[in-house]
Amino acid sequence: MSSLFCQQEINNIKRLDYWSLGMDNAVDNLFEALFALTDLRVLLRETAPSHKLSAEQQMQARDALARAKAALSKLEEGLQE
Amino acid sequence: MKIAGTIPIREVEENFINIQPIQAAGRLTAEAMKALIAYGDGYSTCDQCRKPFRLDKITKPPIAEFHKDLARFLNMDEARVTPGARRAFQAVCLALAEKGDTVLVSALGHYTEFLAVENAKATVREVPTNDLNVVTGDAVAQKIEEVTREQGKSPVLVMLDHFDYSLANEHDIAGAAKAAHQYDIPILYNGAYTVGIKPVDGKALGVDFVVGSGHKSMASPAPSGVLATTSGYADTVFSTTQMIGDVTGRQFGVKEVQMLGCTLMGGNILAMMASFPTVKRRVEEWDEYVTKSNYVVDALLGIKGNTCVSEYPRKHTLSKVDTTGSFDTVARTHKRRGYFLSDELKQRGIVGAFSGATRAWKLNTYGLSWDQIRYVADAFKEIAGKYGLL
Repeated sequence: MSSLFCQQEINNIKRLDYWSLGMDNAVDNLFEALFALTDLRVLLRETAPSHKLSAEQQMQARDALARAKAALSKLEEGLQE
Repeated sequence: MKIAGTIPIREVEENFINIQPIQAAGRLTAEAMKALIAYGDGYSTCDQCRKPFRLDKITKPPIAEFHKDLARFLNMDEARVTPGARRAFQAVCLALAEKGDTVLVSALGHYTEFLAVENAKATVREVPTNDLNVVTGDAVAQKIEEVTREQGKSPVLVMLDHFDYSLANEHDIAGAAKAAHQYDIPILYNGAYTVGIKPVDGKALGVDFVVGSGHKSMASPAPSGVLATTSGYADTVFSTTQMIGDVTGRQFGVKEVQMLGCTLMGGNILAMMASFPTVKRRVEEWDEYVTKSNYVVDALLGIKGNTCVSEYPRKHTLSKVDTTGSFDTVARTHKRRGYFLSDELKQRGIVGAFSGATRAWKLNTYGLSWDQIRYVADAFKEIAGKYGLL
């Protein structure tokens, strides 16, 4: 995910190691999860009111959910005990 | 579920087919929603604002390039984003009109055109429509002549909607531009119901200003809009401040007076930019959306007693229909009165028809898929059948 700031600037931020992934990865994964759920939201809009998904839309929904889950898993893994 | 304990979640678009007349083409794309998530903070456009400190000069994110793209998209020379079409009308009126001047608008013109003229202390005169509720170039020429005869001077501006807000009839913009220019009067194209949903070529139409609404037709949050113009008028409407503070001697150089400096400084412009690739694609699909619009209107006209108040066949997705001879006859004796129709629609997952209206009312089918279009058409027929109107 690209940023307004260059990666070096983000890497240079002095952080307490609250999140073992590194904060930039945490932020990337956070946005990835939100964006994947946004794609799912739009699918709900496109299929209202029945929410009956075509085969292609089912694939899109599964893909969005998988992306959200993966991003959330990484966030969870990064949380220290 | 509530936001901050008091604000309900808005799930209208997720749970229903929404045929509300002014909301259809302002629905956000997924990309615009993502931009709002990332750029919702107040001055989020300003992280990398560098000299000369003006919104349309910011290169990261690529706001400067977006302004150039907008001008190209409308085939005009310069463009600025504005907080809605109304602020663009205001900017042009303040730049061109003053007390004692006259501005021509359509007899079907939007109220914000009136306010923009009044704000400039000028006066509105209306160009009447013909028997088909359409403004022609000849009518514009006649009104210019009439005003000039009465006042001894020409109007300073003509503002005309390509498709009006009331009936969404198509008005003769090219003819009006030709007429206005014969009298050396500039013309503003009000594309609130076109820019972002159908192709608009300002130079081909021969207009001096193109105004669009982001939240009405460009899949953007409110308020957002665009004002584009020719190189000939850019210096006038985008003039920069000449003011100098008498105590401090301060000057603000590049700030544009009619824009009041920077306009859309947060999520709105980023969302507008994020929707823009989709907007550029979807204008090429306009004919398909008009076909869908006619499919629904035809279904309504298949119900005995209904008429289409807008011009027909439809050239737009916004339409005004009259159901006085059908649904209104049911409303007269139904315990829910006129609300029965919106109740019946809501039960079928359709919202946006004006609650309680069963005489003349508007709907907009823009953005709906064929499955949704057929569903809406069938719903009207089903309701008519239930009440013995077929």
